[in-house]
Amino acid sequence: MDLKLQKNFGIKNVKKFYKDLHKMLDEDDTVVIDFSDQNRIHLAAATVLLSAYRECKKLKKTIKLKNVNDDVKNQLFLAGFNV
Amino acid sequence: MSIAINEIQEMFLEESREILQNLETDIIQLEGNFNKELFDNIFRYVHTLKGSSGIAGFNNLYEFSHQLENLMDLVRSEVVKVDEKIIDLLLECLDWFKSMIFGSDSDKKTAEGNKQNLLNVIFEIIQKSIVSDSGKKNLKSAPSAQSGSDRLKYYRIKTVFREDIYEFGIDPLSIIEDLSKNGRIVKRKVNKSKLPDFSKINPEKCYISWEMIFETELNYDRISEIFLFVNDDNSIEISDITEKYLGRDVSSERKIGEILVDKGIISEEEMENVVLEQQKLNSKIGDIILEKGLASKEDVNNALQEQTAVRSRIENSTVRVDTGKLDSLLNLLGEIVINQSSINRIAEELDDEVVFKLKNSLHGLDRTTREFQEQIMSIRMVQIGATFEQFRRFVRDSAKESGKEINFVIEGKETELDKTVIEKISDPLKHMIRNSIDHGIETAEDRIASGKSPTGNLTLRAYHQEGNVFIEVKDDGHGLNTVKIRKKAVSLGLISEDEEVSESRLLNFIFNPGFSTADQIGALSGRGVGMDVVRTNIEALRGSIEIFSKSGEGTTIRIKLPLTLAIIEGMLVKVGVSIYIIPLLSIIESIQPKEESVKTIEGKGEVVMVRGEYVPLVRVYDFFGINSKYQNPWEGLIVVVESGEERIGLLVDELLGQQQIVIKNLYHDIATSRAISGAAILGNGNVSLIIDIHGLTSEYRH
Repeated sequence: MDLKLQKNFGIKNVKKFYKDLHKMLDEDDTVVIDFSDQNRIHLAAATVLLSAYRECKKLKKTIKLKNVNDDVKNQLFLAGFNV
Repeated sequence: MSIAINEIQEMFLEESREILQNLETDIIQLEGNFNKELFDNIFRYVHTLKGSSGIAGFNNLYEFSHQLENLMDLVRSEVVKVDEKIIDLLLECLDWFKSMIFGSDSDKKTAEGNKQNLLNVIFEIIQKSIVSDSGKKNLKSAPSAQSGSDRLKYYRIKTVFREDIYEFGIDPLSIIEDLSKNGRIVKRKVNKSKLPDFSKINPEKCYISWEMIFETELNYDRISEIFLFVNDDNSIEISDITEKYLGRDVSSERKIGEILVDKGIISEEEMENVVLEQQKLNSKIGDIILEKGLASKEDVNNALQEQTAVRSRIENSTVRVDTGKLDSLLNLLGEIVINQSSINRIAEELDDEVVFKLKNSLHGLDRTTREFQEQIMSIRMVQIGATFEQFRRFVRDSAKESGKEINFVIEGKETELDKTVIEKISDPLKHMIRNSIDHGIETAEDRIASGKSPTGNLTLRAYHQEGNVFIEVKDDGHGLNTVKIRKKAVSLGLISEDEEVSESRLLNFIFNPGFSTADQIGALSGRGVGMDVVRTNIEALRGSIEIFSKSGEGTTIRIKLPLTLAIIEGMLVKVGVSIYIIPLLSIIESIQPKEESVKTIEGKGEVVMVRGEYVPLVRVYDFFGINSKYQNPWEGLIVVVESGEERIGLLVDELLGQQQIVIKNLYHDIATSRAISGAAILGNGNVSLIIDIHGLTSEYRH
């Protein structure tokens, strides 16, 4: 299942992102998040992802990120991802 | 135990001598060949000088080096470029340090007066560079207390943001990102321990905190500025850990855990847990850290290595020893050798089965003492490099003064020589180098006219050969003018006008007192008082000097020196009841002459024919005023020895054999003759005098 992050994604829509991701992970074993419109990621979104990753590990589910540019990769690294 | 002030000051003087010498070498090398690493070395020397002078209480030196350090900081941050003016300034500052530390009272007074002038030049360069660099990165431009001594700084930064921080429109991640753009995050530990399970998370709350080691050129204030808007309401801790991180803080020994925390590998909290566990389990901290997976084996090993390195720096792996103590040790060893020979002699006289065992043991003892002797000698050996390097400045200044372009090359820096020899070789070498610059190497115009490159080459080279050390001073100048030398030799009556003289003998005339062919007199050369002093000094070191020169191609002066002055290989000779020692290095051969080969020549005295050449004959018994067994040379033995280019035959009764001799110095009131260089104690306890061949030849001539 694919989840494309909308443009200008930030703290204002992090709640919606959390809800969408939660729902998708309930419904599917693999979720692909498309970052193609993102030049940066807010810590709040990164935190949701970190928590989701931890959950997936427990439930043996998978989250994949695609079209992540170098800036976002660096931000994810700083936020605690091992990219 | 506390160290007395004067002891600290003595340590500083000893240390600074070495630092200033290294500084001079590096500054000269920097000229026309800027390289960052070399400049960093120079900076470190000044920094050490500053630190040590502060500790030793030399506030004047401390303040001066601090200002110089500021200027050097600007060079390191590429705000100021190293040019001739900077090199000259650095050398002037170096001379200032030398005068202030080692100069006479009058030198110190002059230097004190010159201090402000030098500081003004330093300030002027700093001011100009700051103004011209104001448009550039503000942090690199001006040296400040925070910019510190090294360009790279290491900070431990711990950030814990309040949970509702997003409500204030702040994204902590963008602050961390901003920070990362100003340097390099060496270690980052993202604390996610407060992060709830996915189902319970409130996505609008901040759960993440950081602990990191950050490498940057920025000063503390600038780092703090990055956190300006979050500083008040959040927990932001920034500490400068540069010294600890680089393992340079040797003020106290650090524990493994502390090193790992300082490196950002484990957090302080994790470390506290490990320590609690260690108290329970009583195992090693490193093992617990590994077991818990808090750090890799490599991290723990690295920390262990750093701890060992710091410990060894604290313990000091080397000690400075007064050479006088080494001399005493060597003398004592000489006594052991003498007693040993004595026992050997007694053993030779006995005839018993037990004696065989005794002799075997003595052989073993002999091996050990020889090894012991070699070890002590090796302690006295010093590489010649430092002595050679000090000439770089001298060559630079002399070349500038004479308006010549000179490429100075040093070879064989690692060649080792007895410390005493090294200390005494410096002045003769300086004179020879000065001669090469003043009279050997041509001006750039003259060189071009002779089809040579405008830059002259001057090489100082040292090497070991056949148990001796050779030092060469070689230039590619116009060589010695043998026609001029011959003319001068004739005018001084050294040779007759029509006398046939080999080129080698002609060249050696330059070592005669008052012999100079130079048209112009330089500050140190051309006065005809130099090369004879050089030869005397070299001979006093039991060395010899040779000269090779080719017209238009250059001159090489080669010095041959013994490895050490403390021990010689000597030939024991008997004259009457006395035993003399002749240094083996001076002996060419020994012969028993026929009666008809001994003659007396008018103006030359008694001579003996040796391989077709008449050699002056010196009757040793006559010379020293003692009795001998033989008065007729054809009954005794002639030992042919060489001093410089001159050979003489010494009449002795018999040769007793060669052996290694530990030289005992004789005070002047005991031996006033130049023909005696020292004494040695023989196996039977008797004292034997060592003949100084150069001194004997010189006294014989007069």
